[in-house]
This record gives sequence, C-alpha cells and structure tokens, in this order.
Amino acid sequence: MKNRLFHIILACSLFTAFTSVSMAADVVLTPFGQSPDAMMVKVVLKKLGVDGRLEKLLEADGLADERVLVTVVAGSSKGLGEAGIDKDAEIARMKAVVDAAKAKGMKVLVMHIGGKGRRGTLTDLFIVEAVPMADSLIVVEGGNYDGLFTQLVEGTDLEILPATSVRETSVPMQLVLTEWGVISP
Amino acid sequence: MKRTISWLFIGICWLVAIPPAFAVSVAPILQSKEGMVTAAHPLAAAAGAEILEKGGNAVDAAIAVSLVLGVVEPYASGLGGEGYMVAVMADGREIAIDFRSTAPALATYANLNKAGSLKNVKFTPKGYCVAGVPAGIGKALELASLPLHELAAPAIRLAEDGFEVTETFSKVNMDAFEILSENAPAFLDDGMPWSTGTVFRNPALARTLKILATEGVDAFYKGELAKNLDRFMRENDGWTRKSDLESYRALVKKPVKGSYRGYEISVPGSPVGGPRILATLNILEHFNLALMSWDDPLAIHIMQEAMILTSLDQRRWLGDPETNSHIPEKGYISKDYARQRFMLIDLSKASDPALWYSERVGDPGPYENGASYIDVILEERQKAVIEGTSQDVPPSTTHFSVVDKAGNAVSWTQTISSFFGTGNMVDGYFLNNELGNFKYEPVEGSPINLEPGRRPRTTIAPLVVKKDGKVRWVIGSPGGGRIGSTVIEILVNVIDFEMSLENAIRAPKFTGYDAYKEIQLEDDFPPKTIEFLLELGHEVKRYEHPDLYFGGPNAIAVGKDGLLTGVGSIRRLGGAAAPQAQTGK
Repeated sequence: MKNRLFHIILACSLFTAFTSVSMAADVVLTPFGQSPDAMMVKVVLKKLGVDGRLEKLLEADGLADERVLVTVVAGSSKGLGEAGIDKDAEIARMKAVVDAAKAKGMKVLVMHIGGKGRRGTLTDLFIVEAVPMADSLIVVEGGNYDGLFTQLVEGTDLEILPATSVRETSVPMQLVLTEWGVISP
Repeated sequence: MKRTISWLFIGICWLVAIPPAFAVSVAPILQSKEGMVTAAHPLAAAAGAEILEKGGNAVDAAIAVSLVLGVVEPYASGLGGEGYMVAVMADGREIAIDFRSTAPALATYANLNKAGSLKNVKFTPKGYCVAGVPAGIGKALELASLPLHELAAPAIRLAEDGFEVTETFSKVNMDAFEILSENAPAFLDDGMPWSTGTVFRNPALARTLKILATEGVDAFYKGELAKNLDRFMRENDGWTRKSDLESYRALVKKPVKGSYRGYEISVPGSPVGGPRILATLNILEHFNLALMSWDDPLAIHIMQEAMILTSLDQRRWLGDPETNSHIPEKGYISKDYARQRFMLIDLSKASDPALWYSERVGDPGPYENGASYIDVILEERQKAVIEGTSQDVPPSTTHFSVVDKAGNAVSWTQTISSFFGTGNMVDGYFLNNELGNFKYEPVEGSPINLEPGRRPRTTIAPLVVKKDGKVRWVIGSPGGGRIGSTVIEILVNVIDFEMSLENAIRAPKFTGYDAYKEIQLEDDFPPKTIEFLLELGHEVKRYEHPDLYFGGPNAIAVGKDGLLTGVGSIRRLGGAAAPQAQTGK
C-alpha cells in the first residue's frame, strides 16, 4: 500500500515538475472590438495548457492576479450592438484596462487572428489604438496584407510575430508566454 | 502487351488528371450565348454550367447548383433549409415553387412558453422548421430533363473530395464559432474554425446526397434520413417529428406578376418578399427617377420613404396564404393602392420613425377588387396600426440565377435563416432556424403568429424581369432585411439610371426597411448626398463599400442579341460560369 502511495506521489511530482500547465488563471482575455475571435484564442490557450479567463467586457477593476492580458482585436458591429456599447466606449474601456494592467505589472499581448477577412474601417480603428499598447503582437497571415501593422510598429521595438492560421498562433503564443513565465520552459 | 498496358496506364492517368467537370468558364463577370449561371460560390456556378454543357436545361442546372451550394456554403443554405424558385420557361410557362419550411406540430405558443421564449430557442433544435429544399428539388425535377443522380453528382464529388475554404467561408465560420463549438463541434477543424485555403470535406453529407440520388427526395421525408432527424430531435429536446416530415409538401404556384415602366416582373408571392418589390416599384413609378441619379439624395429619400411604406404594410398584412383566411396581396400590389401610398411621401422631409407603426400603416383591403384610389379615399377608411414590435430577419441566405441557351430562366433563393441555422448538424447538413421568423408572442390578427404547419414570412425575392415578352434580367439576393432594398435599387439602377448590370450591383446600396430607424448605407455616396439626407431629417449609419451586409446578388442580364452577362456576387466573392464562354473580364 505504502509502495503504491509512493508511486502516486512520485507521478504527481513528476507531472508538476515537467508539465507546462499553469495552475491558476495566469491569463485574462478580452476582445477589442467585440468580435468572437477571443474565444478562439481561449481554445488555443487551452491546447497549450494555459487557463485563460475570458471576459467580453472586462473593466479595469475586473483584473485579478493574472500575469498577462491578451486582447484580440477585430471590430464587429453586431458584437458591439449586443454588448450595448459604441466604438468610442470600447476604445475607452480598453485604454482603461490596459492602463490598469500595466500599473499592475502585467504584460499585454495584442492579437489579430482573422486575416484579411477581419480587416476594415471599424477593425482598423481598433488596431491603430491597440498596437501601441502591446508588449507583444501576433498577426495571422493576411491581416497585414496592406502593411498596416508594419507601419504601426515602425520605429518601435515591437516585432510582428506571424502565424499562418488561428491554430498556428500556438507557436508564437508559446514563445511569448514562455518568455513571460506563464509557461514553464 | 506491354505497350497496351502503357496506353491503358496513360489513359487512366488522363482520367485521373482531368477533373470530371466539363469544359466551362468561370469568372466573377462573364459573357456568353451558350447559357449562364451565377452563384455565391464559383464552384456552384461551375457545377450549373457543367450541367448545361451536358445538355441539361436551366432547371437541371439550378438543381445541381442548389445541391452544390449546400456543400460549399453549408452555412447559408442546404438540405435542412428552404426557399422559393421562379422559372420562366422559353415556351411561355411560368412556374413558382414554394418550398418554404413549415412549423412542426409541437411548435405552439403553449409549448414555447414552457421552453422560455422564441428568442431562447432560436439556436436550439426547437428553432427548426420542416425543411423544404429536398421537396422543392422534387417538384423542380418535373421541369428537368436529367435524372437526379446526374444532377447530384457534382455536389457528391465536392462533398467527398473536398474543396478549398474561401475567405467568406472562413469569416462566417469564425463569426459563428461560439454556437458551433456548442452545437456542432464535429463541423470544426479539430476544434478551430476552418482557415482560408484549407480543404473542407463533408463525408456525411456525401452519404446523404447519395441516398437522395438513389432513392429520390422522398427519402428525406419518409426514409432513413427522416428517422435520423426524428431521433436527433427526440434526443435533443427538439419539436420536429417524422410525422411532420411526412406531411410536408412543396407547393407549385404561379408567380405573382407586376410591371414597372413597361417591364414585366415575375416574383414569388406571400409569404416572401416578392409582392413588396412590386408594391415599392408601383409607388416609385410616380416619380421621374430617370431625371435623377443613383447618388441624388432626393432619389434616395423617395426610395427610402417608399420602401418604409411597403415594409410597414408587409409586416401588417402579408403572411402564409395557406394558413391565413385572407391575405390582401392583390390590393397590396395594385397600382391604385400605390397611388394612395405615394401621396404620403413628403419630398421635403423624412417621415418620423416614431409614427411609422401608428400612422403610416395602410390598408390594401379595399383595393382587392380593383377599386380606384379616389373612391377608397373618399370612403375614409380607418387607419390600420401594427401591434407589437418589428423584428429584423437574419442576414444569411443565398441566391443564384440560371439562363440556358434555349432561353429558360430560373431565379432561386434558398436559406437556413441565420448563418448555420440553429448551429445543429444532422447527416452532414445544418438545421434551419426559421421558427425565429414568427411573431415572438401572439398578436391578434397577425398573419405570422406561430401555428403548426404555417410557413413563416421572410424577405427573399427571386425574380425574373421581361421586356416585350423576353427575359431581360434574372435577379435575387441574400441579405435579410436588406434583400428588398438591394433588389429594388438594382432594378431602379438598370431601368431608370440605365446602368449596366455590373454597375447596378456594384453601386453603393442603402436600406429602406422599418426594422431600421435610420438609412443604413455603404459609404461611397458623395459627402453632399449624406449631408442633404441629414438635412431632410434622416439619420444615417455608414458601412464600408462593398459590405456583405447589403446582400450578395447573383444576376444575369439578357441582351437583345441574346448575349448573356452573368455577374457573380461582388460582396460575397461569387462567380459566373458558362459553357464554352466567349469572353471574360
């Protein structure tokens, strides 16, 4: 019996030592523009073993002890309508959340995962606001078709981390989250 | 012997290398005298052209396109959906097939109250109405010349072999990610949305299509497929039963006819949007729009006001003629009633949305038997009002047009209501959520109160326009509450402003629908046009141009010399296809 218990404890210890799973909600997600894209990022995070808390209308005082704020940029008239806010209120909300996150020492990851299909006047408005707030930036192929992101990061230290599809964002996300200590190396 | 084997090998290689499709041309815009198909997906248009190339007629091609669209645009239409088709045959016959869905027997307000509300059940199996697409195809086959198994072959091929996911497919999939994760996770690409360029296959749908191709469309309502749906509904707390499927019928009717400045227009009747197109054009006929232009704010104001008047009447009076004691459709589309409605338009200011439902709903009843507007007005009929609230209709749906070499024309719109319908998938197809198009709560006298067996009202309006007895245009569009305005604007653009079909479709669109209190428009109108509309008292909401929100018309123009110009939906990356096409742009 003792032997069996020892093996169970050993297995648990090994699992804890080698797994990259973070135990608490280290990441909080919120859309910037109220598209459903943030939910997809949550699925990718889950596949990476990271517990992400998704709040569509996250406010500054809604931040807990997370280490990273992920905001997924894409404007959706339908989403904004359902949330009952307009584009100006959405920008104000994000600015307040990012300011509060930075004050808490959190890192900010900005993502655009919808490719060319998720670009347009409304989305571009949010992109222009979001990129300067980013500590890291992931863009899925096609999203930078006209060089908007390139233009926005020009002259800054920010680098565009590309991904070929939503699923493939797991590669740059793993890199970034490892560097920020959310995923163990 | 070795040489024979080598030739045999080369032959097999050719058979493998050459796609089974026939020689057809596909482009966003195309011209040909050999026949034309336009659809929201180039592969669907190509399938229709392939059937024309094989010697099929326009109805054959339309059936093939309908089935392929269910494969390549599973989010917009399919076997689990419904629609309406208008055919104008070269021999003079005109046929409309109503394959609208019907509410199942358990769909009553009493059951709805127990389940919550109509809004709550819209994205559950309860939101499903009995699908009509297979039965519609069954009726269309009576006008076809090829057997169903040949017409279903392109759809089966694409469902089995797969096809590249388009930008539209990917975007729509991303938009519906939440509901699909919950209701149809198996549809997703290993839990994620399908990305542009990946290959999508649907073996379950291929199997379903094979059953229909072998056993006939009745298999959907009486056979294994009906049993599967019945089981799914029972297991998932849905309302549709096998008995509902067995009693479903597609209806063969005559198109409703109207005219506009000498053009004859054939549209589907109630409970869809055809009569509203005619009623609006009847009002517009009183204005000399040809003196204006597409971006003239006065033209936009007149059209907006006319469209609001006809949408208010549609909402109050029109519904399923099979289950309502009387629908005053004749009065609604009479020229005299239009004259009375025309008198309400103030050229100097916008009507007040706050008064639309109380003061601007008309009564077409007195015009049913051909009364003149003078007599009716002198009798001072009591004004009608609408009780309850206005509901928008979902934006999905797909439309395609076909004209064959002999001059047969088919205009066909099909839908599953919202993109991906309820989000539930059975046997490879998505279930529509048409139940959401009934009144959320019963309203006395409303023609769209929920009732078992009733067809809900929608805005679809596939139509054919003739001049001097010859087909001139085949037009239709998806786009929910924007279908009517987009189709009317295309007609005004080609008839009054003498635009080419391509320019008429490409031109910025605006809404005229009572569910929107403002004019919603694509933002390529000149700034002064917008300024003037604001001056008239309209509120304006801008969208990018072009925006899928305003529909994806797929249309065909027939020139006097018989030259067919097909224009695939510019807003949805559609395509035109033709057998042996002569020139492409």
